[in-house]
Amino acid sequence: MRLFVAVVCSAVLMFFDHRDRHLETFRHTLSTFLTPLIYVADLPSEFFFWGGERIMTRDQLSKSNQQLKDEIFILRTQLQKLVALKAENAQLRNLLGTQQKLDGRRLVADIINVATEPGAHEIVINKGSVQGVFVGQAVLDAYGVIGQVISVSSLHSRILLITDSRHAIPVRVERSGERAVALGGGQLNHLSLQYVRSTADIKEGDLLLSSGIGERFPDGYPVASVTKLVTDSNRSYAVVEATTVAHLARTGQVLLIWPDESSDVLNVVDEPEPVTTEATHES
Amino acid sequence: MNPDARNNYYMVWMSFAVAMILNLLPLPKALELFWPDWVAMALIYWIVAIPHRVGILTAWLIGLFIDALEGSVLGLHALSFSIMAYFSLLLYQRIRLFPRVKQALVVALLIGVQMLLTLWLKNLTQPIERTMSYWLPLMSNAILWPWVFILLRDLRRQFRIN
Repeated sequence: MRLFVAVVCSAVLMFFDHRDRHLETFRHTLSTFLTPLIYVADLPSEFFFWGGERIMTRDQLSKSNQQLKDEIFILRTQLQKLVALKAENAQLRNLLGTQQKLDGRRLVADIINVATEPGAHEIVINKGSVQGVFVGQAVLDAYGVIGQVISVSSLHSRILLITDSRHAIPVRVERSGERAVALGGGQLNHLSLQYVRSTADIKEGDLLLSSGIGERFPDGYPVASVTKLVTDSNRSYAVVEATTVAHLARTGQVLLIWPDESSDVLNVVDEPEPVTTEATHES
Repeated sequence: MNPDARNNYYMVWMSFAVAMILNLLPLPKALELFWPDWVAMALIYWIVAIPHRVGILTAWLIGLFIDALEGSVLGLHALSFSIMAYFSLLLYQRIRLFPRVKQALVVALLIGVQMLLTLWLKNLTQPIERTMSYWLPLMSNAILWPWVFILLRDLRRQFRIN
Protein backbone atom coordinates (compact mmCIF):
# COMPACT_ATOMS: atom_id res chain seq x y z
CA MET A 1 0.00 0.00 0.00
CA ARG A 2 2.74 2.41 0.99
CA LEU A 3 4.68 1.35 -2.06
CA PHE A 4 1.68 2.15 -4.19
CA VAL A 5 1.42 5.64 -2.71
CA ALA A 6 5.16 6.19 -3.20
CA VAL A 7 5.03 5.05 -6.81
CA VAL A 8 2.03 7.23 -7.60
CA CYS A 9 3.62 10.26 -5.92
CA SER A 10 6.87 9.79 -7.83
CA ALA A 11 5.07 9.30 -11.10
CA VAL A 12 3.04 12.47 -10.58
CA LEU A 13 6.17 14.42 -9.61
CA MET A 14 8.09 13.16 -12.61
CA PHE A 15 5.25 13.94 -14.95
CA PHE A 16 4.91 17.53 -13.81
CA ASP A 17 8.63 18.15 -13.53
CA HIS A 18 9.38 16.77 -16.96
CA ARG A 19 6.40 18.12 -18.87
CA ASP A 20 5.85 21.62 -17.69
CA ARG A 21 8.58 22.45 -15.22
CA HIS A 22 5.88 23.49 -12.75
CA LEU A 23 8.02 22.36 -9.86
CA GLU A 24 10.79 24.91 -10.26
CA THR A 25 10.07 26.51 -6.88
CA PHE A 26 9.85 23.13 -5.17
CA ARG A 27 13.15 22.06 -6.71
CA HIS A 28 14.60 25.41 -5.74
CA THR A 29 13.62 24.96 -2.08
CA LEU A 30 14.78 21.37 -1.98
CA SER A 31 18.18 22.07 -3.52
CA THR A 32 18.68 25.10 -1.30
CA PHE A 33 18.07 22.82 1.70
CA LEU A 34 20.68 20.40 0.35
CA THR A 35 23.26 22.99 -0.71
CA PRO A 36 25.52 22.35 2.32
CA LEU A 37 26.08 18.77 1.13
CA ILE A 38 27.34 20.04 -2.22
CA TYR A 39 29.69 22.51 -0.60
CA VAL A 40 31.05 19.85 1.79
CA ALA A 41 31.63 17.43 -1.10
CA ASP A 42 33.67 20.13 -2.80
CA LEU A 43 35.91 20.68 0.25
CA PRO A 44 38.57 18.03 -0.49
CA SER A 45 39.34 19.34 -3.96
CA GLU A 46 39.15 22.89 -2.66
CA PHE A 47 41.68 21.92 0.00
CA PHE A 48 44.09 20.42 -2.52
CA PHE A 49 43.82 23.50 -4.67
CA TRP A 50 44.46 25.71 -1.65
CA GLY A 51 47.44 23.54 -0.65
CA GLY A 52 48.83 23.82 -4.15
CA GLU A 53 48.57 27.59 -3.95
CA ARG A 54 50.29 27.73 -0.56
CA ILE A 55 53.12 25.37 -1.29
CA MET A 56 54.93 27.35 -3.96
CA THR A 57 58.45 28.61 -4.05
CA ARG A 58 59.21 32.30 -4.15
CA ASP A 59 60.65 31.78 -7.58
CA GLN A 60 57.46 30.22 -8.90
CA LEU A 61 55.39 32.99 -7.41
CA SER A 62 57.41 35.80 -8.88
CA LYS A 63 57.44 34.03 -12.22
CA SER A 64 53.67 33.65 -12.31
CA ASN A 65 53.33 37.23 -11.12
CA GLN A 66 55.48 38.42 -14.02
CA GLN A 67 53.43 36.34 -16.43
CA LEU A 68 50.21 37.83 -15.18
CA LYS A 69 51.61 41.34 -15.44
CA ASP A 70 52.62 40.73 -19.03
CA GLU A 71 49.18 39.38 -19.78
CA ILE A 72 47.50 42.39 -18.22
CA PHE A 73 49.70 44.69 -20.25
CA ILE A 74 48.80 42.98 -23.50
CA LEU A 75 45.11 42.94 -22.64
CA ARG A 76 45.22 46.63 -21.71
CA THR A 77 46.72 47.56 -25.05
CA GLN A 78 44.05 45.55 -26.82
CA LEU A 79 41.43 47.31 -24.73
CA GLN A 80 42.59 50.70 -26.04
CA LYS A 81 41.71 49.60 -29.52
CA LEU A 82 38.39 48.23 -28.30
CA VAL A 83 37.36 51.58 -26.82
CA ALA A 84 37.95 53.29 -30.13
CA LEU A 85 36.12 50.53 -31.99
CA LYS A 86 33.19 50.76 -29.63
CA ALA A 87 32.85 54.45 -30.21
CA GLU A 88 33.07 53.96 -33.94
CA ASN A 89 30.52 51.17 -33.82
CA ALA A 90 28.12 53.33 -31.83
CA GLN A 91 28.52 56.10 -34.37
CA LEU A 92 27.83 53.80 -37.29
CA ARG A 93 24.81 52.35 -35.52
CA ASN A 94 23.56 55.86 -34.97
CA LEU A 95 23.94 56.57 -38.66
CA LEU A 96 22.01 53.41 -39.47
CA GLY A 97 19.42 54.30 -36.88
CA THR A 98 19.64 51.02 -34.95
CA GLN A 99 19.81 50.48 -31.22
CA GLN A 100 23.19 50.51 -29.56
CA LYS A 101 24.45 47.37 -27.94
CA LEU A 102 25.20 47.82 -24.27
CA ASP A 103 26.85 45.49 -21.85
CA GLY A 104 24.48 43.96 -19.32
CA ARG A 105 25.37 42.89 -15.81
CA ARG A 106 27.98 40.17 -15.41
CA LEU A 107 29.23 38.09 -12.53
CA VAL A 108 32.12 35.72 -12.01
CA ALA A 109 31.29 32.35 -10.42
CA ASP A 110 33.46 29.48 -9.23
CA ILE A 111 32.84 25.95 -10.38
CA ILE A 112 32.02 23.61 -7.49
CA ASN A 113 33.77 20.37 -8.24
CA VAL A 114 31.22 17.64 -7.54
CA ALA A 115 30.51 14.38 -9.30
CA THR A 116 27.86 14.46 -11.98
CA GLU A 117 26.46 11.54 -13.88
CA PRO A 118 29.13 10.07 -16.15
CA GLY A 119 28.28 11.02 -19.72
CA ALA A 120 26.26 14.07 -18.73
CA HIS A 121 28.08 17.33 -19.34
CA GLU A 122 27.00 19.39 -16.38
CA ILE A 123 28.78 21.56 -13.86
CA VAL A 124 27.70 23.16 -10.61
CA ILE A 125 28.60 26.75 -9.73
CA ASN A 126 28.61 28.64 -6.45
CA LYS A 127 26.12 31.35 -7.39
CA GLY A 128 22.37 31.04 -7.17
CA SER A 129 19.11 32.96 -7.15
CA VAL A 130 20.42 35.16 -4.31
CA GLN A 131 22.83 36.63 -6.87
CA GLY A 132 20.05 36.77 -9.45
CA VAL A 133 20.95 33.68 -11.46
CA PHE A 134 17.99 32.36 -13.46
CA VAL A 135 17.17 29.26 -15.47
CA GLY A 136 18.19 29.65 -19.09
CA GLN A 137 20.93 32.15 -18.39
CA ALA A 138 23.96 32.04 -20.69
CA VAL A 139 27.32 31.14 -19.16
CA LEU A 140 30.75 31.93 -20.63
CA ASP A 141 34.35 31.30 -19.74
CA ALA A 142 37.37 33.39 -20.70
CA TYR A 143 37.29 32.05 -24.27
CA GLY A 144 33.68 31.57 -25.24
CA VAL A 145 30.23 30.20 -24.53
CA ILE A 146 30.17 27.14 -22.26
CA GLY A 147 26.51 26.52 -21.58
CA GLN A 148 23.34 27.58 -19.86
CA VAL A 149 21.81 27.37 -16.40
CA ILE A 150 19.30 24.52 -16.05
CA SER A 151 18.39 24.75 -12.37
CA VAL A 152 19.03 27.15 -9.54
CA SER A 153 18.88 27.06 -5.77
CA SER A 154 19.56 30.03 -3.52
CA LEU A 155 23.28 29.45 -3.38
CA HIS A 156 24.23 27.16 -6.22
CA SER A 157 23.11 26.38 -9.72
CA ARG A 158 23.57 23.71 -12.32
CA ILE A 159 24.83 24.35 -15.83
CA LEU A 160 24.30 22.26 -18.93
CA LEU A 161 27.37 22.49 -21.14
CA ILE A 162 27.04 23.02 -24.88
CA THR A 163 28.77 19.68 -25.50
CA ASP A 164 26.02 17.69 -23.75
CA SER A 165 24.02 15.58 -26.16
CA ARG A 166 20.82 17.26 -24.96
CA HIS A 167 22.06 20.71 -25.89
CA ALA A 168 21.82 22.76 -29.05
CA ILE A 169 22.96 26.31 -29.69
CA PRO A 170 22.16 28.50 -32.70
CA VAL A 171 25.34 29.80 -34.33
CA ARG A 172 26.51 31.80 -37.32
CA VAL A 173 29.78 31.70 -39.20
CA GLU A 174 31.77 34.79 -38.37
CA ARG A 175 33.19 35.16 -41.88
CA SER A 176 30.13 34.60 -44.02
CA GLY A 177 27.14 34.88 -41.72
CA GLU A 178 25.85 31.39 -42.58
CA ARG A 179 23.52 30.15 -39.87
CA ALA A 180 23.39 26.71 -38.30
CA VAL A 181 22.57 24.86 -35.12
CA ALA A 182 25.46 23.36 -33.16
CA LEU A 183 24.55 20.17 -31.33
CA GLY A 184 26.56 18.68 -28.52
CA GLY A 185 27.48 15.04 -28.92
CA GLY A 186 28.45 14.08 -25.40
CA GLN A 187 32.14 14.22 -26.29
CA LEU A 188 34.52 16.67 -24.70
CA ASN A 189 34.99 19.94 -26.64
CA HIS A 190 33.14 18.58 -29.64
CA LEU A 191 30.10 19.95 -31.48
CA SER A 192 28.45 19.01 -34.74
CA LEU A 193 26.58 21.44 -36.97
CA GLN A 194 23.12 20.70 -38.22
CA TYR A 195 21.30 22.10 -41.23
CA VAL A 196 24.30 23.39 -43.15
CA ARG A 197 23.58 23.26 -46.86
CA SER A 198 26.23 21.53 -48.97
CA THR A 199 26.66 24.75 -50.88
CA ALA A 200 27.02 26.91 -47.79
CA ASP A 201 29.98 29.23 -47.49
CA ILE A 202 31.86 27.54 -44.70
CA LYS A 203 35.48 26.45 -44.41
CA GLU A 204 37.65 24.58 -41.97
CA GLY A 205 38.99 26.95 -39.35
CA ASP A 206 35.96 29.24 -39.48
CA LEU A 207 34.93 30.73 -36.17
CA LEU A 208 31.34 30.17 -35.09
CA LEU A 209 29.61 32.84 -33.03
CA SER A 210 26.37 32.59 -31.11
CA SER A 211 23.71 34.05 -33.38
CA GLY A 212 21.27 35.25 -30.76
CA ILE A 213 18.37 33.48 -32.42
CA GLY A 214 16.19 31.93 -29.78
CA GLU A 215 16.97 34.77 -27.37
CA ARG A 216 18.76 32.38 -25.05
CA PHE A 217 22.36 33.19 -25.86
CA PRO A 218 23.34 36.76 -26.64
CA ASP A 219 24.56 37.54 -30.13
CA GLY A 220 28.22 37.50 -31.07
CA TYR A 221 30.04 35.37 -28.50
CA PRO A 222 32.55 32.82 -29.82
CA VAL A 223 31.32 29.23 -29.56
CA ALA A 224 33.51 26.92 -31.64
CA SER A 225 35.81 26.67 -34.63
CA VAL A 226 35.16 24.35 -37.55
CA THR A 227 37.56 21.42 -37.65
CA LYS A 228 36.10 19.08 -40.23
CA LEU A 229 33.90 19.62 -43.24
CA VAL A 230 32.54 16.95 -45.56
CA THR A 231 30.39 18.08 -48.44
CA ASP A 232 28.65 15.59 -50.63
CA SER A 233 26.68 16.99 -53.53
CA ASN A 234 24.32 14.02 -53.33
CA ARG A 235 23.22 15.03 -49.89
CA SER A 236 21.55 18.31 -49.12
CA TYR A 237 23.32 18.88 -45.84
CA ALA A 238 27.04 18.98 -45.16
CA VAL A 239 28.68 17.18 -42.28
CA VAL A 240 30.41 19.80 -40.16
CA GLU A 241 32.30 19.17 -36.94
CA ALA A 242 33.65 21.83 -34.64
CA THR A 243 35.73 22.20 -31.50
CA THR A 244 34.58 24.50 -28.74
CA VAL A 245 36.72 27.53 -28.05
CA ALA A 246 35.75 27.48 -24.39
CA HIS A 247 37.87 25.14 -22.32
CA LEU A 248 35.02 23.38 -20.51
CA ALA A 249 37.14 22.31 -17.57
CA ARG A 250 35.75 20.90 -14.36
CA THR A 251 37.46 23.50 -12.21
CA GLY A 252 37.99 27.22 -12.51
CA GLN A 253 35.77 30.18 -13.08
CA VAL A 254 32.89 31.03 -15.33
CA LEU A 255 31.13 34.24 -16.24
CA LEU A 256 27.39 34.69 -15.91
CA ILE A 257 25.86 37.33 -18.13
CA TRP A 258 22.54 39.08 -17.86
CA PRO A 259 20.65 40.29 -20.87
CA ASP A 260 20.72 44.04 -21.26
CA GLU A 261 17.43 45.41 -19.97
CA SER A 262 17.54 48.55 -22.06
CA SER A 263 17.62 46.71 -25.37
CA ASP A 264 14.32 45.99 -27.02
CA VAL A 265 13.47 42.34 -26.74
CA LEU A 266 12.38 40.86 -30.00
CA ASN A 267 9.27 38.77 -29.85
CA VAL A 268 10.85 35.76 -31.39
CA VAL A 269 9.13 32.47 -30.75
CA ASP A 270 10.64 31.19 -27.55
CA GLU A 271 12.05 27.85 -28.50
CA PRO A 272 13.42 25.84 -25.62
CA GLU A 273 17.13 25.42 -26.12
CA PRO A 274 17.86 22.02 -24.61
CA VAL A 275 16.42 19.78 -27.25
CA THR A 276 15.81 16.20 -26.45
CA THR A 277 17.28 14.36 -29.35
CA GLU A 278 15.88 10.99 -30.09
CA ALA A 279 18.71 8.60 -29.69
CA THR A 280 18.76 4.91 -29.20
CA HIS A 281 20.34 3.64 -26.05
CA GLU A 282 21.56 0.18 -25.45
CA SER A 283 22.14 -0.79 -21.90
CA MET B 1 11.11 1.70 23.43
CA ASN B 2 14.00 3.20 25.29
CA PRO B 3 14.17 6.99 25.27
CA ASP B 4 17.75 6.98 24.01
CA ALA B 5 16.76 5.48 20.72
CA ARG B 6 14.41 8.31 19.89
CA ASN B 7 17.13 10.87 20.49
CA ASN B 8 19.70 9.02 18.48
CA TYR B 9 17.50 8.55 15.45
CA TYR B 10 19.15 11.61 13.93
CA MET B 11 22.29 9.50 13.49
CA VAL B 12 20.47 7.55 10.78
CA TRP B 13 19.97 10.77 8.87
CA MET B 14 23.55 11.80 9.54
CA SER B 15 24.72 8.56 7.96
CA PHE B 16 22.52 9.30 4.93
CA ALA B 17 24.04 12.78 4.69
CA VAL B 18 27.55 11.33 4.78
CA ALA B 19 26.59 8.77 2.14
CA MET B 20 25.24 11.56 -0.10
CA ILE B 21 28.46 13.51 0.27
CA LEU B 22 30.42 10.39 -0.62
CA ASN B 23 28.25 10.01 -3.72
CA LEU B 24 28.98 13.59 -4.74
CA LEU B 25 32.75 13.51 -4.21
CA PRO B 26 34.64 14.55 -7.32
CA LEU B 27 36.99 11.76 -8.34
CA PRO B 28 39.51 10.87 -10.98
CA LYS B 29 37.85 9.24 -14.00
CA ALA B 30 39.17 5.75 -13.27
CA LEU B 31 37.83 5.74 -9.73
CA GLU B 32 34.59 7.43 -10.69
CA LEU B 33 33.68 4.47 -12.90
CA PHE B 34 33.76 2.12 -9.93
CA TRP B 35 32.44 4.49 -7.29
CA PRO B 36 29.59 2.66 -5.51
CA ASP B 37 26.21 4.05 -4.57
CA TRP B 38 26.75 4.71 -0.87
CA VAL B 39 23.24 6.00 -0.29
CA ALA B 40 21.63 2.82 -1.59
CA MET B 41 23.87 0.72 0.66
CA ALA B 42 23.09 2.81 3.72
CA LEU B 43 19.40 2.65 2.92
CA ILE B 44 19.40 -1.14 2.62
CA TYR B 45 21.35 -1.46 5.84
CA TRP B 46 18.91 0.64 7.82
CA ILE B 47 15.90 -1.10 6.32
CA VAL B 48 17.31 -4.49 7.23
CA ALA B 49 18.39 -3.35 10.70
CA ILE B 50 15.39 -1.26 11.78
CA PRO B 51 12.54 -1.94 9.32
CA HIS B 52 10.00 -0.48 11.73
CA ARG B 53 11.74 2.90 11.50
CA VAL B 54 13.20 3.11 8.04
CA GLY B 55 10.96 2.04 5.21
CA ILE B 56 9.43 3.12 1.96
CA LEU B 57 8.70 6.66 3.09
CA THR B 58 12.33 7.24 4.10
CA ALA B 59 13.48 5.69 0.84
CA TRP B 60 11.17 7.96 -1.09
CA LEU B 61 12.46 11.08 0.69
CA ILE B 62 16.08 10.05 0.22
CA GLY B 63 15.37 9.42 -3.46
CA LEU B 64 13.86 12.86 -3.77
CA PHE B 65 16.97 14.39 -2.19
CA ILE B 66 19.17 12.52 -4.65
CA ASP B 67 17.06 13.89 -7.49
CA ALA B 68 17.57 17.43 -6.25
CA LEU B 69 21.31 16.87 -5.79
CA GLU B 70 21.87 15.18 -9.13
CA GLY B 71 19.57 17.43 -11.08
CA SER B 72 17.56 14.51 -12.43
CA VAL B 73 13.80 14.72 -12.89
CA LEU B 74 12.16 15.01 -9.47
CA GLY B 75 10.67 11.69 -8.43
CA LEU B 76 12.99 9.54 -10.53
CA HIS B 77 15.21 8.22 -7.77
CA ALA B 78 12.31 8.53 -5.36
CA LEU B 79 10.50 5.91 -7.41
CA SER B 80 13.42 3.54 -7.86
CA PHE B 81 14.50 3.82 -4.23
CA SER B 82 10.95 3.13 -2.99
CA ILE B 83 10.82 -0.04 -5.04
CA MET B 84 14.22 -1.11 -3.79
CA ALA B 85 13.02 -0.43 -0.25
CA TYR B 86 9.91 -2.51 -0.89
CA PHE B 87 11.96 -5.55 -1.90
CA SER B 88 14.35 -5.00 1.00
CA LEU B 89 11.38 -4.99 3.38
CA LEU B 90 10.15 -8.26 1.90
CA LEU B 91 13.54 -9.88 2.38
CA TYR B 92 14.92 -8.26 5.52
CA GLN B 93 14.43 -11.28 7.80
CA ARG B 94 16.27 -13.53 5.40
CA ILE B 95 19.02 -11.00 4.68
CA ARG B 96 19.76 -10.81 8.40
CA LEU B 97 20.41 -14.54 8.53
CA PHE B 98 22.48 -14.81 5.38
CA PRO B 99 26.26 -15.24 5.61
CA ARG B 100 28.14 -12.10 4.71
CA VAL B 101 28.98 -13.11 1.13
CA LYS B 102 25.46 -14.12 0.26
CA GLN B 103 24.25 -10.93 1.89
CA ALA B 104 26.53 -8.91 -0.36
CA LEU B 105 25.13 -10.65 -3.42
CA VAL B 106 21.54 -10.02 -2.42
CA VAL B 107 22.35 -6.38 -1.71
CA ALA B 108 23.96 -6.10 -5.13
CA LEU B 109 20.84 -7.65 -6.62
CA LEU B 110 18.59 -5.14 -4.85
CA ILE B 111 20.76 -2.23 -5.95
CA GLY B 112 20.85 -3.75 -9.43
CA VAL B 113 17.05 -3.67 -9.62
CA GLN B 114 17.12 -0.04 -8.52
CA MET B 115 19.81 0.82 -11.09
CA LEU B 116 17.88 -0.87 -13.87
CA LEU B 117 14.77 1.11 -13.02
CA THR B 118 16.80 4.31 -12.73
CA LEU B 119 18.36 3.62 -16.11
CA TRP B 120 14.99 3.15 -17.79
CA LEU B 121 13.58 6.30 -16.29
CA LYS B 122 16.70 8.30 -17.10
CA ASN B 123 16.71 7.16 -20.69
CA LEU B 124 13.10 8.29 -20.88
CA THR B 125 13.70 11.71 -19.38
CA GLN B 126 17.35 12.55 -20.02
CA PRO B 127 18.44 10.80 -23.18
CA ILE B 128 22.22 10.87 -23.15
CA GLU B 129 24.50 8.07 -24.18
CA ARG B 130 25.09 5.60 -21.37
CA THR B 131 27.51 2.74 -21.74
CA MET B 132 27.88 -0.64 -20.06
CA SER B 133 30.21 1.01 -17.55
CA TYR B 134 27.00 2.18 -15.88
CA TRP B 135 26.93 -1.23 -14.18
CA LEU B 136 30.49 -1.19 -12.82
CA PRO B 137 29.59 0.41 -9.45
CA LEU B 138 27.40 -2.61 -8.76
CA MET B 139 30.56 -4.69 -8.36
CA SER B 140 32.09 -2.28 -5.86
CA ASN B 141 28.78 -2.19 -4.01
CA ALA B 142 28.95 -5.95 -3.52
CA ILE B 143 32.62 -5.88 -2.52
CA LEU B 144 32.26 -3.00 -0.08
CA TRP B 145 29.02 -4.17 1.50
CA PRO B 146 30.61 -6.14 4.40
CA TRP B 147 32.57 -3.09 5.50
CA VAL B 148 29.61 -0.77 5.21
CA PHE B 149 27.61 -3.31 7.18
CA ILE B 150 30.18 -3.47 10.00
CA LEU B 151 30.59 0.30 10.06
CA LEU B 152 26.88 1.01 10.28
CA ARG B 153 26.30 -1.83 12.76
CA ASP B 154 28.91 -0.34 15.06
CA LEU B 155 27.27 3.03 14.64
CA ARG B 156 23.91 1.54 15.50
CA ARG B 157 25.28 -0.19 18.61
CA GLN B 158 27.22 2.86 19.69
CA PHE B 159 24.12 5.03 19.60
CA ARG B 160 21.70 2.24 20.55
CA ILE B 161 19.47 2.88 17.58
CA ASN B 162 16.77 0.26 17.39
